[in-house]
Order: sequence, then structure tokens, then C-alpha cells
Amino acid sequence: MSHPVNLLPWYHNGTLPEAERAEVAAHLESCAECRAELESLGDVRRHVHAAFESDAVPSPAARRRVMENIARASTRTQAPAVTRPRPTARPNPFGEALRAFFDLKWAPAAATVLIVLQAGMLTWTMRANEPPQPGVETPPGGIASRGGEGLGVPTARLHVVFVATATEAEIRTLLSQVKGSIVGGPTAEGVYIVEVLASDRERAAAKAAMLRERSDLVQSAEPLAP
Amino acid sequence: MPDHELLAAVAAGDRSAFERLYERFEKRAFQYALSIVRDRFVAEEVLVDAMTSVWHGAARFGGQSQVSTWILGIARHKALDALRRKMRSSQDEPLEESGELVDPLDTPAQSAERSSTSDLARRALALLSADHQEIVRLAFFEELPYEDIATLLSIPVNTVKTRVHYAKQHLKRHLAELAPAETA
Repeated sequence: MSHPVNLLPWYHNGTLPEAERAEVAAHLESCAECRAELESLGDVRRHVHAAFESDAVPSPAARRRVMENIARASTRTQAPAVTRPRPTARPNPFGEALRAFFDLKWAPAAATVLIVLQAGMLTWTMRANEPPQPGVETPPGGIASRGGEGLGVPTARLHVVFVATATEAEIRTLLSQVKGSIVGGPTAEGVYIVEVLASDRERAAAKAAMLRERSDLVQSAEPLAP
Repeated sequence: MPDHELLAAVAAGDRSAFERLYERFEKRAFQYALSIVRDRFVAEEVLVDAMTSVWHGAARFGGQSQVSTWILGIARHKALDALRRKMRSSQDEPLEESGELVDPLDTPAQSAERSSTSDLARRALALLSADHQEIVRLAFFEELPYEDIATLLSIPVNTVKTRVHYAKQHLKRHLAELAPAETA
């Protein structure tokens, strides 16, 4: 191998792919010139860090503005935030016309209506074949499942109690990991019915066990008796 | 929590995860933007715009690069856009030098101390071309893999390697030239 000087910066920062790292390491054992170059890279890195770490930092106002942007976006069902840059550029009539064309203000509202209609239809379809669950109130027009037995998808239901500190986002992430969704609850005791994809009781029990492993989010999770 | 797990939580709509991600990257994204636009006000606009885009685009992150590369890439794209707007709107105004900026949050004593420890390196870096300054930041400060740098800058991997090599040589020379003057 010729002198691998062009690879030494990444050998030094530890991001070189393994094959190249091994080649460079072998070369360094027998090349004093490259070892000296590698040593000098430490000095370069130290100077670069000294310079850049002392750069200016953003003001707290920037953070506030970002958080306000995403809070606004969240209340608008994840619609893109409008973060207008400082008006330094001259008006561009063509650009404005193009922006207006694609700025479909009615799109989030239309999407919401479609989702509500779809949820209603799914709930109606499921309930046609489903006996009421004693002790668990499913709110009228509440959260719809992905279809359940009514649409031929093998599913099972679990009784799940989440810890009080679990956030909605954390619960949503966890349920997506077990391919589950809340289809009923909570009861006065905080019990939710969670529907998961599972073809038999054994797999349902396994999914319940997966949920229980997240003790930071889940207080209890048990398959419903058939 | 690793960056990619944090970003996955952000993609699921977890705002507390986003706050942690913001804390992790605000300074790096801001300073990178500042190195491009050389205007503190504009760099903050870029930061706000870029991090808002991170929130909206988290679900689209494909994992082909490090999360830091992805976020810095968004900041770079926004910064270049801002720079183009700024240059169009004020062609006769010289750009501010980011190297001369003083953090208004610093006390005079803090500022002096920071200046004394980093002045040599800052002056040596300031003598590099903009391309060399940028690639030195990405390779030696952000410590990104060469493939990520190539993606970020949209240049071939071999160009990354040779550009880093020459930038480093120039920087070493400038450091050596400035060092005697510092100690004299």
C-alpha cells in the first residue's frame, strides 16, 4: 500500500470502513512518516475544535420560535409550518403565483373529513359482528381498529394499562412496534383494549409480553380471555 | 439515546424527543449556517427554518447517513438559499465576518478568555478558502465519514479526500506561520 495520507483523517476520527482501517493500521506499523502525519492530525483537530467551539451560539429566541412553529404545526394536524424568512428578497410575482397554486389551504380539512369518514365506516363494520365488552366503554365514534375479525385480518385483543407518565407519542410509538392500536377504553381503572395482529393465543401472549417489557410505559398487559 | 432513535421518536410525533434533538444540534447547525451566511441574524433564521424542517421531515429520514449529516445537510441547503437571497438584496453591502462575531451572551471576561485560547486557530482558519474552511469543519470538527461529506457537499469521494488533504496542509502552514507572531 502506498502512503495512505488521504485516509488518515478518517483513520484518526474513527469513521474509516473496517477494510480500509485494517490496511491503514498495517501500513502505520512500518511507516514512520505516516505515523508522524497521524500525530500531526491530533494537533490540527485540537486547533479546529478550539476555534469552532468558541463560535457564537444561537439566542434562546431561536429555540422559542422553533418550538412555537412545531406547536402550531401539531395543532394543524401536522400541516407544514410556515416559517417565513426575513423579507430581504425583492417580490417575485411568478414565485408568489406558484406558491399560491400549491398552497392548498383546504387540504388538511379535506384530509380530516376523509379520516373521520373512514374511521366511522370501520367502526360500524366491526361492531356489526362484535359483542359488547363488559366493563369497557368504547366511546361512540371512538378510535377505529384496522379492521379486526370483521375484515378477515387475524387479530387479538389485550387489556393494557399504561403508566401515568407515558405520553401519547410514546404510547403511539410503542403500539406501532407491536402492530397494535387502541380500540376501546379506558375504563375507570385505566384499562385500554388494544388490538394487535396475532393469528393465535400464543402470539397474542407474546405481544402482551413485549408490551410488559416496556415497564417504563406499560403497567400491565394481558390477552383477553376468548 | 442514540441520534437515530431520537429521530425515530420525533418521526412518531414525540415533541419531548424533538426538544432533546434540538438541544443536541442547535449549536452545530447554527454555527455551520453562520460559517456559510456570515450573519448572525440570518444564521438564526436558517436554524429556525432548518429545525422546523427536521420536525416535518423526520419520517423521511432514510438512514443512509448519520443523523448529524442529514441535519447539517438541511442547514446547509437553507443557508445557501439564504445566502443567495442576501446577496441578491444587498449586493453592495460587504458580508460580516463570522470570525469577528462576539457572542452577546458572553461577559467581557469570558469573551477575552475564549479569544485568547482560540484566536490563533481562528485566524489560521480564516486564511483558508471558504471551501477549505467548510471541509475542515466537516472532517475535523463534525468528524463525519468521508462518504457522508461527499453526500453533503454533492462531490465525489475522491474530491473529499484530496480537498481535506490540501485544506489540512494549508491550515498547518498557516498555524506555523502565525504561531511565532503569537509568542513574540
